[in-house]
Amino acid sequence: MSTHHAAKPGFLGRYVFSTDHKVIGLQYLITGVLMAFIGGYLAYVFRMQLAFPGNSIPGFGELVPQQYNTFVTMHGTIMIFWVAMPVLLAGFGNLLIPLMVGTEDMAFPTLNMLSYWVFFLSTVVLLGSFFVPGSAFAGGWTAYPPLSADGYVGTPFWDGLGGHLWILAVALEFVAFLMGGINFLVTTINMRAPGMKWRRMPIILWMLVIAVLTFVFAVGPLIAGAVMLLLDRTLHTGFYNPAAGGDPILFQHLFWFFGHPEVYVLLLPSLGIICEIISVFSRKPLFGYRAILYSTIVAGVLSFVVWAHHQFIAGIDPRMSSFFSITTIMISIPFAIVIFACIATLWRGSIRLTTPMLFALGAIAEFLIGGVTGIYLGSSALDIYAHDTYFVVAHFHYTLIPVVFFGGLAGIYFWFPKFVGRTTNELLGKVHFWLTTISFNCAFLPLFILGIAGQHRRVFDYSAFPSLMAGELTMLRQIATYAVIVMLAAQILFVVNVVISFLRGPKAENNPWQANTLEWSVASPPPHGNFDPYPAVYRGAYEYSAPGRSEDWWPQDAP
Amino acid sequence: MELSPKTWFMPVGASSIAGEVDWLFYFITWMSVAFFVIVTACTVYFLFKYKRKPGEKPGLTIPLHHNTVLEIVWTVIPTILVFFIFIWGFRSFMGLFVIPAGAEEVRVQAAQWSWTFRHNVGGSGNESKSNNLHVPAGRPIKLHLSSSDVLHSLFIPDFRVKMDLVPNRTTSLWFTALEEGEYDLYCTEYCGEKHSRMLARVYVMPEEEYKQWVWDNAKVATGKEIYDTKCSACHSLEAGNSEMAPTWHNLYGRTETLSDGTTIEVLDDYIWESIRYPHLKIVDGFEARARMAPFPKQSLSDEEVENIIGFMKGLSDYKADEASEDPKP
Repeated sequence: MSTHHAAKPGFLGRYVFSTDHKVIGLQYLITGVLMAFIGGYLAYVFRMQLAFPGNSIPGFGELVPQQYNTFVTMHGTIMIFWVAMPVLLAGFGNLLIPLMVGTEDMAFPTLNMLSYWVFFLSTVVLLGSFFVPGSAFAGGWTAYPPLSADGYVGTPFWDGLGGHLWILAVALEFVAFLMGGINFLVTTINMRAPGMKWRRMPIILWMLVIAVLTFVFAVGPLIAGAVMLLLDRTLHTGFYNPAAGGDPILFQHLFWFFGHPEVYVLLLPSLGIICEIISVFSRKPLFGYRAILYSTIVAGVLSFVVWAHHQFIAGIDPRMSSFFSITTIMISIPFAIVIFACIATLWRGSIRLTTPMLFALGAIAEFLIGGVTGIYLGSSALDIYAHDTYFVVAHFHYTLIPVVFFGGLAGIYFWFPKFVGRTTNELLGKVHFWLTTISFNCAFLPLFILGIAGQHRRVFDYSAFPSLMAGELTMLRQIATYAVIVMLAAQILFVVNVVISFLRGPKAENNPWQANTLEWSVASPPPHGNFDPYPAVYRGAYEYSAPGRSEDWWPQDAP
Repeated sequence: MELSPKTWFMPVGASSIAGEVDWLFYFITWMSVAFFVIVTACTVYFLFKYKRKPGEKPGLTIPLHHNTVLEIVWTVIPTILVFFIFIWGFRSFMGLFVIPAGAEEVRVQAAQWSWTFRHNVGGSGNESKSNNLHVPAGRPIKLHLSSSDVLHSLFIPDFRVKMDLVPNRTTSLWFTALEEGEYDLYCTEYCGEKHSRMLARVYVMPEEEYKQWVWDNAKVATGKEIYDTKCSACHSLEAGNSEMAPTWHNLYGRTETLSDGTTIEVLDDYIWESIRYPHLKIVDGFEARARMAPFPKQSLSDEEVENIIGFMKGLSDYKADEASEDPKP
């Protein structure tokens, strides 16, 4: 029934240059997880420097200011673009979309394979930039010119090849995600199984589609901005060079026009994962499916008109700030609605606190803190004080870590039996959850306090600032550092769990969680081509505890 | 106006707008805490109450899909709250941008990796330049900000103000410092390798002292220029006399022995005399050296002499308030 079945591919064709969406999804996922360890190592090095300035760092050595700047830049770049994007969007999107809409593969399998390999190339370019003369880019992950655009009089600091490669890697990666994104959209729109109406789709599919649309609309200006930056660096054009009539603020607009929607590109797939998991383990329909859907659409649209809140003090017209302040504060409301809906789903449920459920609930609790601290920053007068301090650092780690790590891990534990065919160890999983949660809070709550005390960002060491060297602030920096080490060490449990389960975990049933969506109707792991025969869909994804049935779930494809 | 106290970890609020910003901070904090506690408490309560007991058969839950009234309520309440926060925050924000008339103006130039603050000196057209910011207390100060290379940002935590400095553009910010004292000022926009060393002090002083400082400081700068062109061949600025002439290091206020055996305190009068008529009183040990040529008014104006004295004071540990005689106005 499918052209895929015609030829038996060899090892390379099956596991490396595969066009199978599941293999590609796993490739993205694994690459992302491996990159997370590199990003984590960089964080370990610069946190050690901040806690114990001037000391040699175990496992690294002595850190000089320029290396510190490189590490901070690359930590941000890797965690956002090479962990969050491939894991949440490309990884889960590839794994889930064809199975959940009930089809054999993505609409364009070869393009899909190309997408991963372009992404792989971008990864090689990025990591390779560490080894060129002058090392990797040190201009901050936001790459503000004129600092990032060498060649201007007075800024001969970043003329290394590293900066060119950084721009190239980011551009390549976006090309990869555009190819993947086209697949996501076409597959969801055109290849849904008979009966899979829009309103019957699992909410995560909606979230993925809206995330991809947001990404596709936002990415153009950034690529244009990056190309101009590259031209400024290499051909000495003057797009951002004030001396040549250019404007450095232009780059900030182009960057954040992409950069802020990007946050929601990451947030939405993760919220989708959380919604699925909470509904399954509460044995209840997802509360307010439509409200969640409309909120998501509103958030997607609003996300395009909040960007200038990053620039309240960049010299933009204060009257313009009023508009961006309103939109920024408003965008918290749709997400409040989604969170309320998740919690209402718990009400009168029959709750099982499995590892994926713990991570999903943890993600919500931690994200709440990230959400409310966003209100401080949306409130323009307070933003002036908090801007570019550790309050901002703490805020975005409290949004991104719940979203990317808690949400991502929840998803990995939830779908591991499906895609690997074996079950993970629940005890190890729960220990992993509690260690991660406790150490995460110990690492990042102190940063709010440090930010409030006036500690500013991207500073190599604070010894020149007497007020920031007060005893209790030094202690907070050390607590945060110890907690980061525990948090990183806790991830070893995850690796052990995944590796042991992969090798000798108990065989997984087709539907171990008794869930409704289509991927649970096929074998674990799903065969090449997924469905035989194609499924037909009779109902929405959340018919749990439907009256008149002996079982408390009702698969979408059960007649 | 009262200083807002150092609470929790927030530094002392030492400017006129700090109180308002801090109130907003605490209001949002308590609202957030309340919100977080309510939501988390609900979640935890549900988790305990509706947790499936071990060994329990999955009983049917309620197939509740939505509840319109509840959904409207939890949309409207946060909406009202956040708009309230917006209005409050924005009023303070505009307060930070609308600069009161008659503010004392200071021009700020940032460069990798230093600050330069320039003040006008009266109507003289001269300027007073420093790497630290000096301002009078109790009066609005307007800073004109510009950068000569990359982006920088000026942050005075105790005043709750911050503004970016952009090359080829002038931005501005204002504040009124409430109390005399010293405060930190630093760059908060990542500006390269030595970003973590780009800092300055803010000295808030009484109005009179500030005026005096601007005047004296300007003299120091001009005095240095005159020194470089006319005096540096013989007088050094290092500790220890050169072969040619006494060093200016710590000279002002020092008691010198003259060639006739008497002593004299080096203050304005003696310096005036030594410039106009150098041969009259020579410091012991320099009688045999080359004679310093006299500088009459035609070659060094009275104002220039004042500037030289200002510069010399800057090189000395001698405290001005211990001086028995006032410098010429």
